[in-house]
Amino acid sequence: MNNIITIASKEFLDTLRDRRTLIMMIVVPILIFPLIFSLVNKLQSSAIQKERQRLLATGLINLDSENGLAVFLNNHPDLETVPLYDIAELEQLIRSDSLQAGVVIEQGFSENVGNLKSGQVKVYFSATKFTTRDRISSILNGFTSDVLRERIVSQGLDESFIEPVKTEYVNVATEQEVIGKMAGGFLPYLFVIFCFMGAMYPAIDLFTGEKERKTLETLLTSPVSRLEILVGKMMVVVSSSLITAVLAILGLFVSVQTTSGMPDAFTGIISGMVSLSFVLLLLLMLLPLTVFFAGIMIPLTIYAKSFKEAQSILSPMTFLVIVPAVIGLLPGVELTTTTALIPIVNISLATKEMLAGTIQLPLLLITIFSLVTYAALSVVFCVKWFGKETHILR
Amino acid sequence: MAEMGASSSSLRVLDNVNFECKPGRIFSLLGPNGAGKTTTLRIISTILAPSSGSVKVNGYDVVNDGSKVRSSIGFLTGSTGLYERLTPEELIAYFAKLHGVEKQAFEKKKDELFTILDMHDFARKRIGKLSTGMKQKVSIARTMIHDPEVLVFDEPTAGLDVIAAKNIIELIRDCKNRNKTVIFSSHIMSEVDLLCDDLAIIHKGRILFNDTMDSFRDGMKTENITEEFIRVVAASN
Repeated sequence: MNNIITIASKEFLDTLRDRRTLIMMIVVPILIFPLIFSLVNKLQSSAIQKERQRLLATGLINLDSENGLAVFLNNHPDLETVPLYDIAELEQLIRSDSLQAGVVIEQGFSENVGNLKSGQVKVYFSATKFTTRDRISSILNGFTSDVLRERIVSQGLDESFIEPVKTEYVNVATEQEVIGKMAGGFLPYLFVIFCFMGAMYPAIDLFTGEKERKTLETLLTSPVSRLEILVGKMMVVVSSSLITAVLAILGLFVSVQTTSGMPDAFTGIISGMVSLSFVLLLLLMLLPLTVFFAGIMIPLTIYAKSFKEAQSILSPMTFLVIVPAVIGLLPGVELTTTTALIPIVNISLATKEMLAGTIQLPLLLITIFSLVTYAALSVVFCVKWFGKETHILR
Repeated sequence: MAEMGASSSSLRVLDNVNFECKPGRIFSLLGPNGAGKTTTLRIISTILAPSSGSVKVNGYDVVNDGSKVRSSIGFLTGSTGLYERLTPEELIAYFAKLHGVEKQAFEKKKDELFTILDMHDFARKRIGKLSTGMKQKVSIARTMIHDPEVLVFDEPTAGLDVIAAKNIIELIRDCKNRNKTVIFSSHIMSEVDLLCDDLAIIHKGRILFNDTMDSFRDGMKTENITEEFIRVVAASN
């Protein structure tokens, strides 16, 4: 045990002095959320402000001498109408970005509307501007609703005439459940990625790095066993991975607390995450997951001859981690006895349920048990791999 | 004492290699590149396991008592790297701990080595910032910190400049004077001529000559030992 602690302490010191590992392990996870949040917040508020300020410049060709729609559009606060007479010119102005949309009120519009028929309107827009069609459509819908109401009244009917079924939707889920199921899918995905990233650089540095720097032989000629060397180094890889994930959680917590304009329920969930019970449960799942990651990465880093080779082997593995984590994000994928057995997918789904407050104990236990089993299997594989001279001295 | 064979899946690397190194004497394993010198020394230091035969170091079997063998040896190669982010002090302390050196004994031995090797000035600098010569001194201190009975040097001067190589030569001599068992591999004849008491010439995994250096000199059929070495190797082809 003493030897393991000696090796782990030395590797920790060595790791903390490696700028590359330090950036990936401490700086990136701490800063990533505050940076993302402040950037998104800034972009969002400036986009909303811009959107509010910006009037939709719309060319209006009224082929029907007099009608309420033209008046409605001219007076609409979101529109800046420009009277035009030629459709080709209208199209040209939209293409050149001078106008964002164009409305052509066809001949006989008011007569048709007055006779309880449909008045024809053509809307010109460029599909390259994502919001234009929706904005014009919602403005026109306002006019349509007004006309419809007038028609109903003129016919002596009640508004319920056009609404034979009046539906009221009652949401029984709490806000925590709703946001938990949504944000809850996203958060574990991040933990998983950070755990992986946090393990990757130390694993490469501690194994491939030792080979590349030609220090491995010296270590192998010391009286410590290979198992002790492996366990000592693995402890550092696992701890680095957990530190990265915990720092990412802290960064997230701090950015949510300090960013204004967050929904209360979202802030509540993130604050709730830092409750002792949640963090302990999360660590209980993250610990075997990181051991599992280390158990997969270490044999590959032992096999690789150089830092570059190790990086090129491990980087594509990120996709193998992202895919199951994304599966956990998909709507409709729930934690069941089957999904609780699939590594990464299970932790993603279980965390989602935990955040929503709907986790079932048996499924949580299956998740933890399967994660521990995978971790144990990967360690056994790792030990066997590290015992082979052909891999170490490749 | 060693009698060994080693083979990888497709190649027999060592074939019935048999020799003995004694305390207070320097045993040199001489051979061209690819002869099997490194494999032999790796087996002696338990990095590799022999596929047949038995090797005893300081009375311990390399297969059954690997840990005790490693406790008895100091291993140094010319290409040995060091942990560049540590200081010499930290590195030496690390290996002393791994070798189970008691704190008091460690402090005494460290002081002695740092003084002999003139290392005090850079003992707390990061190894990455040291010169090649300084690094070589750190390697020597690392090899000697647990006061091993057997010293294994695998081409210890390869890639070193004259001054750094001189440090190694002095170390090997010093080990002999202190009655240690020294085995070193080389393909540099002048080094062998300068240092060795016993000599084994190895080629293609087989021992071609195994006797004292004096007996090698006496039996020479050419003018100098380099030519004699080439003659012995060529005769075996």
